[in-house]
Amino acid sequence: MGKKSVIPFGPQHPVLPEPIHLDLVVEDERIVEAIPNIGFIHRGLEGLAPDRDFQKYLYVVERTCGICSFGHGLGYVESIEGIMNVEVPERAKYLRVVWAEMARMTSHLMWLGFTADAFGFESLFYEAWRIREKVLDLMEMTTGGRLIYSVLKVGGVLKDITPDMQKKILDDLNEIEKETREMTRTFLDDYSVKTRLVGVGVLTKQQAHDVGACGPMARASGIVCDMRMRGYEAYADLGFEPVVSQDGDSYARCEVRINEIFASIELVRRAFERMPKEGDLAVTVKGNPDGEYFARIEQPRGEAIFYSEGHGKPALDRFRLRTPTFANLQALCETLKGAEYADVPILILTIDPCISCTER
Amino acid sequence: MGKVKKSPWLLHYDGSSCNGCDIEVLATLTPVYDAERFGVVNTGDPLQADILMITGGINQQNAPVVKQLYDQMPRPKVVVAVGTCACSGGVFRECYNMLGGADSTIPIDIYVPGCAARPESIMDGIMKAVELFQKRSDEHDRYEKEHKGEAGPVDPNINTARDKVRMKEMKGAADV
Amino acid sequence: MSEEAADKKTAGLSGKSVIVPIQAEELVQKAVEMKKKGLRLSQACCSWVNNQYEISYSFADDETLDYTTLRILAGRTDEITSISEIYPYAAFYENEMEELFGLKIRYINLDYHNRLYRIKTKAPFLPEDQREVTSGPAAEKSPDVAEAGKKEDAN
Repeated sequence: MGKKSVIPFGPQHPVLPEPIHLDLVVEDERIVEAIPNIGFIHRGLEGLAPDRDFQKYLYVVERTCGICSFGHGLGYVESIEGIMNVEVPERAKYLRVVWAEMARMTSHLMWLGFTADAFGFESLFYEAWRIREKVLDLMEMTTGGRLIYSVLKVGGVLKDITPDMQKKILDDLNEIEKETREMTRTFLDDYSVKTRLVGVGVLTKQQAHDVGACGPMARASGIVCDMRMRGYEAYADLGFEPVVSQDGDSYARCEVRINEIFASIELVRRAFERMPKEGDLAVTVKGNPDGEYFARIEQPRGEAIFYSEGHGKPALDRFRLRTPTFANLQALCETLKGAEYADVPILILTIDPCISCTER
Repeated sequence: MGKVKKSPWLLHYDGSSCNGCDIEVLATLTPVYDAERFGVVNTGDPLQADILMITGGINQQNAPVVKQLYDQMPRPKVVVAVGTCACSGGVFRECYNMLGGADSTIPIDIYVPGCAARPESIMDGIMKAVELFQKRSDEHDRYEKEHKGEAGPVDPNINTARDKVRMKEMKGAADV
Repeated sequence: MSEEAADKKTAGLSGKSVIVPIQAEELVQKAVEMKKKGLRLSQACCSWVNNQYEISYSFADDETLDYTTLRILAGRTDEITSISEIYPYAAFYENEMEELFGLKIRYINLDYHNRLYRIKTKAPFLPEDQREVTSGPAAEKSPDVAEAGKKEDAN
């Protein structure tokens, strides 16, 4: 057959926003196998859990990843509230949903930009990030930060959204929706984009189940699995339908994430309608956690699992965070088999890698 | 800012950062904040880069990678540490795998604080880096002109203790 | 600890979360049962509490959103059989447990031999006095990072 060679990919590469190393076993431009080599962002922050007070450890967990920051904070406070049986006030639940959905929108818009850059369409990259800046302005207006918000607390939230802010958010969302629809039409209808995405990196439903994929990777192959269907926070009240596609290639994953942006805008609007007009923002939490709890939430990249274990001390004994990219790494290796070498950057980006989440 | 003769090219590398500062560095180069009007261009090739932007602290795995990137860049060069983690180690300073901020491995010229560093601060850092690069470029040209025809490693930018040690090592290796 | 009580947090949520204690020898057989039911391995983790390992393997059901966790208690020198023949992607979780906790797992299909993260401290999550063992399977010499690091420094 052809000649086999091993090409190292990463850790420094123009399309990779983060360092990851892949050893690609290549036979004449076709990839036979991919072996990932991770560990460049491993800080070991789970080892800090026994040394920090559980209320202050939230700030370390939030900084696991700058893109999925709100999701990590939310999962951590849910796991502590589960151990200590804390009932969060209604208004705080709706506020958490609003911020989580807006964080999801920024994450997907950023991903659209990176993917456009990977196949060389730079003006689409800048357009997606320009729209993302508008959403970041709204986040900054309400929480004070662009990427790391620090607006969560065990027992509720720290800040409120006033009626003026609410009106501005709803007006701006109309504009953002219109511009996003125009921009994503290029993604879905343009001929040159379609030739790069359609039929590339196909993962059938059975393959996706065997590899343990989660999040938009699994939903694009037809598996209906979204943690928001469990109804945590205020999702049970808002009614939620997951976005699913059947094709399983890179185009389908793009479609799923684009439709999720519009679904998030709808959820924010409905949350503002159904939010109680007045209420407490947080309850005071006394005592130390004693017990264990598994919290499962839906991050922009998939299902994230937060496990906390405490034995009555102010610091937790063990905190474990299983992020969606850790589960999707095997799916990446599966899609890379039999792919062409020129498609490697696109395939790495379709799993929406967040290596700093994976390695903590 | 003074007269800018050449447009420096930026190389951005993520040490062990949480990605917040990386996204803000890329946001600084997009049209809303637009650092490209000061003449900088984002490149992926260390052999053609002049300014290195490091985000995140350094851990045991990526210390050799960062050193290699720094060595591959030709002189004159400027290094900017973006974010609190690159300046000193940040929230993760006491973790078992971290060596500290970026200055545990390479010499840093400009520190930009923040968690995540705001695009306005990063822009300020880039402008100072461009000025510093102009200064070093002029010094380099003058040194070359004065010492024309001499053999040996030419380096007028010896301004840190680490560089002095490195120069001694290089001379020692050349002698053997 | 068996069923989670109907506490305030999980009252309105669909999908129950259950922790089932089992013996280390039953792990592979239970994993086969989970695979037959069509469950997906969601996570595997380990913690060091009360001078023993608490190992958890969690399986998620995508239709009913239920969550089942198998819990194994093991000593410092015990050995666990890997389930990566049944669930191939369990290899990453098990390599991580081996490297960070010094737990010995045999027959992993993609074995990194303690070089997944390539950290210099051996078993950093264990307390200092537990890190070195002189008996049992965990005491076997594997190509360790500390020795490879020393060789690199000498060069």
